[in-house]
Amino acid sequence: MKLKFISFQLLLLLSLSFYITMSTSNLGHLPAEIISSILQHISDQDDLFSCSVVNRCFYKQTLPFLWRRFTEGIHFDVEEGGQEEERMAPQSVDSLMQQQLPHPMVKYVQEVELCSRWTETQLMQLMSRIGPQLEKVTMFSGRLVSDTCLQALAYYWPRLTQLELHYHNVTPDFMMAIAQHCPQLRDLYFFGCPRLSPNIFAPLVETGIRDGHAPPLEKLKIRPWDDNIPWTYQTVLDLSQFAHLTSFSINALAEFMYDLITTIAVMEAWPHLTHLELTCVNTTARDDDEDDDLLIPFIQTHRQLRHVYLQGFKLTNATLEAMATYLPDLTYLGLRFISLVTVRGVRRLVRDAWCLERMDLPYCSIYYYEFPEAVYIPDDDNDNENVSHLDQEGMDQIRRIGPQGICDDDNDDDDDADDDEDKAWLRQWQRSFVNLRLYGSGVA
Amino acid sequence: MSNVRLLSSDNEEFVVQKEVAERSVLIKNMLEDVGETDSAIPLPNVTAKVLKKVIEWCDHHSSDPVTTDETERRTTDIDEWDQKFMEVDQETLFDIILAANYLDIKPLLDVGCKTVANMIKGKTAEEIRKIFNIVNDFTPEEEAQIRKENEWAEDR
Repeated sequence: MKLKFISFQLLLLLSLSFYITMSTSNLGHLPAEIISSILQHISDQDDLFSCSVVNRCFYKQTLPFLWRRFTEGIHFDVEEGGQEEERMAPQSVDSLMQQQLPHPMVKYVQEVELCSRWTETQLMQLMSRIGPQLEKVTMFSGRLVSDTCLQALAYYWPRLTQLELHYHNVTPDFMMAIAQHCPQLRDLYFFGCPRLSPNIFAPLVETGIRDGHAPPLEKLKIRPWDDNIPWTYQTVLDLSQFAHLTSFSINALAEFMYDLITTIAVMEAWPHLTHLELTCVNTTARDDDEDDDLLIPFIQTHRQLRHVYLQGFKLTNATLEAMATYLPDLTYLGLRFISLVTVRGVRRLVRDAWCLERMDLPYCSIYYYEFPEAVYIPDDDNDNENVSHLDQEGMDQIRRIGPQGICDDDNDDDDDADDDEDKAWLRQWQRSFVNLRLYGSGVA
Repeated sequence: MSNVRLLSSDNEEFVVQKEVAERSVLIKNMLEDVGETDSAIPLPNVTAKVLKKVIEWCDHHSSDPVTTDETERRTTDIDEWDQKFMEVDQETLFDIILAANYLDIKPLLDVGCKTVANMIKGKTAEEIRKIFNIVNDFTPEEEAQIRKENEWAEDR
């Protein structure tokens, strides 16, 4: 009882120390940490700017939020063959760089996004201004920046966790600087970088070996400038060393892709992989067998996959079946230019993979008139009859219909979709779909 | 379910269910340290008027799951009940925020801060000062300097 009494007395004393701040309730009198908590919920730069000039206390609390992201210009997505942003960095960049120090950007910028073309001089000024707290860098136009200048980035910003470079001179020397100076780097994205070479990942692997651990990289996305980069088997071996990888995405020639998939499966590398995007760029060059034998072992050894995108592979329903069997957490599947899968295979996958929320199916030779549950987006000329995707609604329809739907579930011995029952069902669906379309065009 | 007695700064006593009172991390930790007690817990920073509001909130949210994910807590919108709950005069609003901070009830502090943030959004500095009755303690030169220093951030 005595102890309890002392505890309460102590609490009372502690509480009294807060009391002074509680006496006048007005926004201007709130403790600084509460003003900071309020500002956390404001993301618009204009609003933050207004807050910064309210009074001294607001100014001090607003700066970390106002300057958290340093962005310049607007980026237009150029991934699908668009034009690179040609604009040079505006003159205001130079006047910003000439402002007196200390400047808020020195201490508070944690993310940088540059969309225009910055010169080496401008970039060096920026790197020497923003302090080492910087964590994320995205630069969209790096043609004017040499790899020597780029190396400085690793020296100035050693706490980088995420780096995204478009059209930059990424060389082994630059990668060496990154490997040596940025031990916290987790996410790496290279888009259209012209000087990527087969040994580009070696510095990260070698530094890891030297320090006695696997390279810490978790996300890697590579869209090369030229699909014909002569990646070698050593590249595959280097990549296999990224034991912490959770997300991997690449565009590459079929030969490299086959080496990669086989090796990673055999070595059971990337045990934590949840996110996979593979774009095979020259499948037509090969006439041999289907890719099921290649992909199924990979699927069997990577059962945590949740997000899978495959383009240009010769895979059939067998791969989809393997996904349904081995990937219990699959929520997204994207297939593009995969012409050997059928509506029946897709329906079966949807029924068996319960977590699946969306499937993209463009250019998979699956036509709207045979797959009414899927979404079809006609193009301008109306000559593309391929369905676009399956959304949650379409999947629900397939799952609701269950085993009575279009598939070989009527217990007869054949193994195809042309059961009478299914045909009748299909006709019914097609009719309703055609009616819907006619009605739609009538209204138009 | 056992009850807990809370004593406001103006000596008004409130009897609340333990589960409700434990929405406050301060009270929860204290009960864990002190154990079962018959004495009322003094809360000298919180008036009866504010404590009543806070208890009302804790009671309504007593069965909410505890969200530890900072970003999730920060990004979810204020639900309808909370919006109504926060329709109070400014002084009470700030008192609730201060009490939530002192009693360590993070979700209530978030709701309060989001409410104030929504009042700030879309306003100029002058409007913010006016709404909240804040004195501008900058000299005109300082304000000009700050505007210049941060104009880059404003343009984004």
